[in-house]
Amino acid sequence: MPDSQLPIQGLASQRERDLDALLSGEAGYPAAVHWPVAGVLAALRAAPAPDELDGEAAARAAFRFFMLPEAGPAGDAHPSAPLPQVSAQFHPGAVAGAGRPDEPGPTVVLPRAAPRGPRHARPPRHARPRRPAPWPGRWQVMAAAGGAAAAVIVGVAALAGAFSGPGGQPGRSGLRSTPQSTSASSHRATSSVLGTATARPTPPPTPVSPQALCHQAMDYVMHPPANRSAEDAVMQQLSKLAGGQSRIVGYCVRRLGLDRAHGDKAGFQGGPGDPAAGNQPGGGGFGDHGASWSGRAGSGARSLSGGPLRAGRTGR
Amino acid sequence: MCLDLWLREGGQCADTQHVVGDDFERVLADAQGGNEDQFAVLWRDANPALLRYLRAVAPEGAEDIAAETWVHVVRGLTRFTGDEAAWRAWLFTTARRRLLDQVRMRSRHPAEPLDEVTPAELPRTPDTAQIALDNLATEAAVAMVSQLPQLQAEVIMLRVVAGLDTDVVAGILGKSPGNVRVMAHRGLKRLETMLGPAGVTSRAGVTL
Repeated sequence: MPDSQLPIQGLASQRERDLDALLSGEAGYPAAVHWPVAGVLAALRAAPAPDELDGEAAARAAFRFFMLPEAGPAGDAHPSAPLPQVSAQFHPGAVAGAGRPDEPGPTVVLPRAAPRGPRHARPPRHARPRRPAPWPGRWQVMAAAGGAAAAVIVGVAALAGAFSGPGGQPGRSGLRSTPQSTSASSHRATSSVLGTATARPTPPPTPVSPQALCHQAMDYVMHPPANRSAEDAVMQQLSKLAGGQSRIVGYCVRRLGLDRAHGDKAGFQGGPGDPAAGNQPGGGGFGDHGASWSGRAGSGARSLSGGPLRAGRTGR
Repeated sequence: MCLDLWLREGGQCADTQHVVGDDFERVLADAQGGNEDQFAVLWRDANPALLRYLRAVAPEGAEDIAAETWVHVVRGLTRFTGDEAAWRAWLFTTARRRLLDQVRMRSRHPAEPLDEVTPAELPRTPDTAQIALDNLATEAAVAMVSQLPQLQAEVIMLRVVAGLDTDVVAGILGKSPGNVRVMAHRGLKRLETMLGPAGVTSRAGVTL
């Protein structure tokens, strides 16, 4: 600190000291007596006037009202609950927020009124207990049950379609069933039962086996294609295989095992289907087979056996 | 008169500061325990200073604010811990909060006086100063301080009447201690100006 500032600081300190002595009324300090306003300050701190003590009775009454029930014996009837005994150490730094709602000073909380009579105030909404759920996992279980029911329905519909189709032909499903959806299959199954199916089959790829040729021929019988040349080609191949056009039906019945289907319940076996058709994509699958076939059966009015076949799915 | 005694002996007389003294801890404990007489000791010690402070900063509602302050103090008395300086600081802090609450309330709900009072009938500063010159009574001195700016008046009253030191006053007002000193000095200078360059001579012949 430069030396030139020392006298100034000393003077300032002296004035500050005089100011403190004047304001605090320090006894024996010259400035506290000889300052021009010392008399005014002395008058400010003069002894209490009588009118300044007039309110003592009211203050005592307030004290009795708020304090005596707390200090008195237990069970004293009083409209207010006792104040909580919270240690609220007052410190000068805490008064900086005076007048603010978040002031840190000892704020008094109004006592909670006791309930009167049988009517009790309803607790606030957040304080009420939540109503318990009927049982946990309700929606999850319902969803699972719904899914299982849907699966059962689809399966039953598929089976119904398979049983109600005009003839179970192993290995046939692999030709056309893959793109079909399950819901469409169930719809076709229902239509098959009711006999109102109108869907036309898409032309299959060129058959490469006698069974496939027979399936294709049956489709052509039930659903005559617009392109007669394809039908004629299939029929010519079958005619060659069967040894004549008139033997095609018997040939296909034997090749597809339809001649044993009525009396042979063990023929309905599911499984991989016709080994001859095993090279077809998706051939021989149980679900695919039934669904595919049921969708193609339509009303079943033109089945080769003259009626709906019920167990004609066994491959050979 | 206390002023004459104070001027003659150059010291303090029975004033508004620290009447309870060394017994404060016991008095406070008894009051917190429900002793009404001990609470009355605290009240008699602090209420004159409280009223003077409030009359200087809020002359129109000092008594009401003081009563409300004591209600708050009584209700929080059992939670208070501290010495006499802290007790006074708490008391005046509570009073200032109630004062600010009342100022806010009056700003929201301004009161209309029933009687029309012309500005000529209102007391003017020279009249107030003349009252102080004539009587040098406490009321006149408080009236003089009330003519000061709000913060200067509060600083002087809290320092002189309540007997609080600079740091505590700074805490109550939310100012720095240096700012409090500056405001006190300016307030005293303004009081000097109000008293006049030649000083004031009281009835007792004492020049202030």
